[in-house]
Amino acid sequence: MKRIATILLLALASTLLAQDTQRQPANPYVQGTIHAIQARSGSLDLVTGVGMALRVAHVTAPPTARLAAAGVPLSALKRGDIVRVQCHWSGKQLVADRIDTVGVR
Amino acid sequence: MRRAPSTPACLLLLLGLIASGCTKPVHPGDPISGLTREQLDRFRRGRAVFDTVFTPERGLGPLFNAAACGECHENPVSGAFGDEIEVHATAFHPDGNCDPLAAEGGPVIQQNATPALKAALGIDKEPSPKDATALAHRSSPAIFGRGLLDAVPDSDIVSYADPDDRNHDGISGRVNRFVDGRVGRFGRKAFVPALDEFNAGAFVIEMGVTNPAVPTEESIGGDSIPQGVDPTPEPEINQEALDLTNDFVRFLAPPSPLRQNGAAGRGRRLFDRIGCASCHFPTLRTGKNAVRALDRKKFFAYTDLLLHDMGPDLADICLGLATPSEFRTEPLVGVRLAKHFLHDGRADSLEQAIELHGGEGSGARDRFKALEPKDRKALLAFLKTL
Repeated sequence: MKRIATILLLALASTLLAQDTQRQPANPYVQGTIHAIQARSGSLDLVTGVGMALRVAHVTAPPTARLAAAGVPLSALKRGDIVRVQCHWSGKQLVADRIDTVGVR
Repeated sequence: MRRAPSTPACLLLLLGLIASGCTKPVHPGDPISGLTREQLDRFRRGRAVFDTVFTPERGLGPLFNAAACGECHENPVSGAFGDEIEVHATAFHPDGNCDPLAAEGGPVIQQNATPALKAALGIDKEPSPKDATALAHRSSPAIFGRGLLDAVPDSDIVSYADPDDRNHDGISGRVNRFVDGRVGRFGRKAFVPALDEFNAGAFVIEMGVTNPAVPTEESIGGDSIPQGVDPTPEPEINQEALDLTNDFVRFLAPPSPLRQNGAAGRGRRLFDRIGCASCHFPTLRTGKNAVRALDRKKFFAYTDLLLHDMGPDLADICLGLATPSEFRTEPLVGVRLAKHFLHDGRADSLEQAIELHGGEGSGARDRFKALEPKDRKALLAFLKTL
């Protein structure tokens, strides 16, 4: 069941990243490695994907956003960090509601 | 009506089975034993999807490496080795971070394009990413026993790691991680965490065939596909076709080793003695699994699923946490059927492959080279039984 749930979530994440996405599920999340971050403008690019098919997901984070557990500003994050971002859709943009680091490195 | 065999006939049959060791050898291409009738049926139907040759009208491309899974995993049976060599690229930054170049079309550089893409852009393959710091070649491995490897618990893989070489044996395997942090195990750099994800991704990166798990095509070096070039609606295969393929790969058995008499038997002991088995763990065990045939099974693996530094001469690209010189221990199951060896097929013999081991493999390599010629032959004879 856990594996199936993971696949479903990954499929959901991939679907979210489709440029021509028609449906926009509520409360999606994206978990991936930070490819680029601009804390001042609240821009976060994450590498995510399924197997070797990797994609970049762009998430907008409000400049006031802080890391959920640590309470530190986004500027504490850097390229290569792994994060889980709970989002909502604003038009065609993913906007971060909550950002957590995934402590595996 | 068929007559039931008599009691003496049953006893003779039983004695015959006992005398033959009760186990039927598993040949390359066979399913794992203990599958239900329904699972066997899915294995066979999955093999048909695996061998399906895609065309542009059926979803192939616009960029691709091959037109069928079975085009690269084919010799001598579906799921075995292939002659194809792929090109991969990533960027390894001075701060130690590895960029898989997802924004530039990803780490796999497709070597073919459909006629429509050629007509639109004048290219016959994906261009190399401009930010790549290294290119790598990758041979097509056999995928025997991958369902069993998939069923090994993450916690077991983590427990094998010894990143700081605390036991001072010169071997310091470590775990790779996928982009989302999960423990990796599949691919030459142990980057991908799960078999079904590897397969779903492979449909897209190898054949340009989108599916419910990966519903978007690869970009062309980061640029979008010109309109009209890929008219087949996404996903280009449905969930059932993907699931059947997964079942074929998951249920594809590791072939039984050949008899290890005489020299090969001595070679097996030498394999342990000179340290090959420190990374090429002969057996692994699966965890609890909903499929009975995969549930808590001990099986021949000859890998620890960890990354090991193989020295600068073999180094190529980074991937995940793997540095350019780190590679996952290659499972040696079915290696007797291989014609080329190592991750890029550069070695034409097992002996050459061993001699090219560096880094953490250099101790075992040196001990192999120091063996008497008859013992080297014995060890190679053992490997040729796998």
